[in-house]
Amino acid sequence: MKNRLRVLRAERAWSQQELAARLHVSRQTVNSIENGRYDPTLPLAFRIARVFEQPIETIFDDEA
Amino acid sequence: MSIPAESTSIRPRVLLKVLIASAIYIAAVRFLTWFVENHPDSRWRVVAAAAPVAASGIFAAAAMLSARGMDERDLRVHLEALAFGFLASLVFVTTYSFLWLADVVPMQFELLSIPMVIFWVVGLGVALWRYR
Repeated sequence: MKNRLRVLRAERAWSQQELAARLHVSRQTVNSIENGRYDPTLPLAFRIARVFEQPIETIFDDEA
Repeated sequence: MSIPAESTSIRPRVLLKVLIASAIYIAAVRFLTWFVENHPDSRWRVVAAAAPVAASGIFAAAAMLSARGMDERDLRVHLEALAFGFLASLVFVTTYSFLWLADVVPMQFELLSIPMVIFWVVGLGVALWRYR
């Protein structure tokens, strides 16, 4: 599943560590999600959506 | 859903500590095995024979407490590593047992714990590579 995490993070000039702290996950988890190696669970996807103040479907694309 | 305040992650330093602790544990078990076998009349024989159980319990408790601080990706990594370690150990021990029945290989005390640690480390490496 593709996502726009890296783009959204870059727009806010956040480091992976900073985003990880906001999401209460490790930096490695943010890196894995950005690289498309790991798909987050629904609760984490909702937290990501809240942090970026965007709907989930604008961040994650399951048809890509 | 509870969220850990500060998620821990799998770091080489943690893995190194686990490997060092495992090496110390294996060395201690070997010494205790030697002690039990060579001191049949010692009153410390039962204590020596039961000592690894306490160490194993502490290790299991520490592992469970550590898992509580992990985030979802790290939990998945460890689940896959443990699943690989358990199943690979099962195959190994079953195969080795049949070979022992056929008198091809000798039976050794460390045959379960050492392969489990080795297979767990291999599984951890594969899972970390997969979710890198």
